[in-house]
Amino acid sequence: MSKTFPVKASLVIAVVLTTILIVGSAVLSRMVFQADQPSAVLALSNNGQSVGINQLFNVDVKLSLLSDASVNGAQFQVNFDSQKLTFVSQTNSPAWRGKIVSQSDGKVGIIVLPEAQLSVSLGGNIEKVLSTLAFRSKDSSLSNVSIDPKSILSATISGQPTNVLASVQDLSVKVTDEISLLDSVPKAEDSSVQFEEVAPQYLSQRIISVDEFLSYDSALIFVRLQQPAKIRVRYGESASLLNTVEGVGFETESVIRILGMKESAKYQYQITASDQAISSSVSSTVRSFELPKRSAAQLVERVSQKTFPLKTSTTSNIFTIFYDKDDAVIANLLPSIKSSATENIIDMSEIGGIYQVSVSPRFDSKKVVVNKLILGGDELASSNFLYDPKAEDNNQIKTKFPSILSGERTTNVIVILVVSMLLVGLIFRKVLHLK
Amino acid sequence: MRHSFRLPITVGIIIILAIVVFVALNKDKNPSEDGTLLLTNIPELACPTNVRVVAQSVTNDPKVTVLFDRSVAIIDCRKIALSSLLTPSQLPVKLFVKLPNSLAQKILVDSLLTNYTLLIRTGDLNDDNLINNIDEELILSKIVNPSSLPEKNFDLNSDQITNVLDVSTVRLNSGVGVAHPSAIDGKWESSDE
Repeated sequence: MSKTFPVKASLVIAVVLTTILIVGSAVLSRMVFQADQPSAVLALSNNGQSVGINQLFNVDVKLSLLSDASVNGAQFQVNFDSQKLTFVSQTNSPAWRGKIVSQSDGKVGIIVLPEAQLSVSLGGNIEKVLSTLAFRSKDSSLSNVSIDPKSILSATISGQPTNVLASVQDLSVKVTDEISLLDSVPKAEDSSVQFEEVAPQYLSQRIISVDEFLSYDSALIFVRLQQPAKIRVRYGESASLLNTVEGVGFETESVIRILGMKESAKYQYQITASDQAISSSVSSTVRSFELPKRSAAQLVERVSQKTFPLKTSTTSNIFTIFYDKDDAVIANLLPSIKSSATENIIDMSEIGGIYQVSVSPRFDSKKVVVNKLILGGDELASSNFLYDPKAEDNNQIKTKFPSILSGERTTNVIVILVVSMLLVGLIFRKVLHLK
Repeated sequence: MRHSFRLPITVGIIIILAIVVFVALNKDKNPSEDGTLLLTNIPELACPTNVRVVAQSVTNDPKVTVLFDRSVAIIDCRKIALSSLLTPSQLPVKLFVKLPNSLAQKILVDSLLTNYTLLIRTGDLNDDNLINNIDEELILSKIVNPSSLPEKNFDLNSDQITNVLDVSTVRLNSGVGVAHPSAIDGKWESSDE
């Protein structure tokens, strides 16, 4: 035994090690190592200054990067109370080129791009002023200046521009008549001014986007959040927002349907996202829309489509509204969708002029699903969404550290690996007790 | 005698098991299908269905021979099947590939069984085979005045909205595309098909 055992044992150990190396290399080749996605905060700051009546003052739009990123642009909309403040001008920060892209009552939209380079590489935990906005105060009161949550901070990830904005921070401007009327605009880059930042109450949550899809007596409100939360929409024809509709679950992507509204009426609404304990919540600014008219004709002039969500691991919904030449909504049509996910023609259902269908692909791998809208045998439009069976479930709360293993196949691999190792262990034990 | 066979059998089982696991894990990494031309760097949500391809034979003949110039279907939004495009007798061949709103690119293909990768640069909004500040200004004009330039799709990343991400796409992909191999001025006019 003393002569044969070491030979056999060393042979078995060599085989076991070889097996581990082969299987291990195969498993490693299946692992997906995910780099941390950079995230950023856009914040407004007026350097902590109180403002006198009829005084010009600056509001800086500051970028806070939480990790390294290659930033190649930003697009943001700043909302303010036009009864209390007047927007005066926008000033570029050094090395950045800004352009006002929209300006209406209480809103100013700005695009900021790096001046010379394609992108600017910025380190984490830094603050950078992207643009400076000058306002003039009108009345003594407290006034909010906010950044629209739909704003975008573009950074390069895997060669593609990606929105990495994680949250926005608003600003309360106190306008008081006790301050001397110094009609001067402080310099944006004045390093002697100490910033007095207020810590955000709910940094991890953010309303990423809010969109509306309007018919003559109903509306769909599309909301995307940073974290799963319950959505509540308060709405009404007056600013008191007396009506409320709530979402059903805690989700990152929600569609809220509001029914029973009046044709051609103007409505205001506000989105509130609450966590499970209802202990903290984030609200959007008060937004507004005007419902279209209902068409008396059936002649389609144009089509509006909305696919939600654009990336899914399960089901995506396609919503469609048909308009006549006067932009009135046409009801009682019989449209259908020919989807590359099924190759069958699926009839759409209608609720108050909004036609919808759900598409649930069953592919094994990531694919763009193309959906063609068909009405009366004619293809009127097409839309697409990305089906990714390995995509993170939108309604699951994210773990702090994402697993380095991803996908169903990897789970199978681990099971095979464990079973194989157990089998090898049993055989190994048997061999050692051979003599 | 019985014991003397047990060890080799055990070792054999372990090796077979390891090979089976290895093959199972790597099954789809070595597809035996025909070669493809994979178009990369296309925005994630974009799904182009056709691409213009010009094939030019590679010979010592000073006369440049263009084999074809036609629109080719894209499989799964990203792939071109080489076997449906070329025959073995045409190889080696230079393929000039131009997607709408993208720069023309060139690649040498010498086998129908190999997978090739071509990096696509999207952002040529005025179809001059250049991505430069003119394209950037066009897209900014579209954002400032959405009702302007309605005949062109400026939503380069197919997220259903034209915004700074599309401007960034133009900026990141700025450059010059390859000239058309048979056009005198090298311009990519409409297909000769």
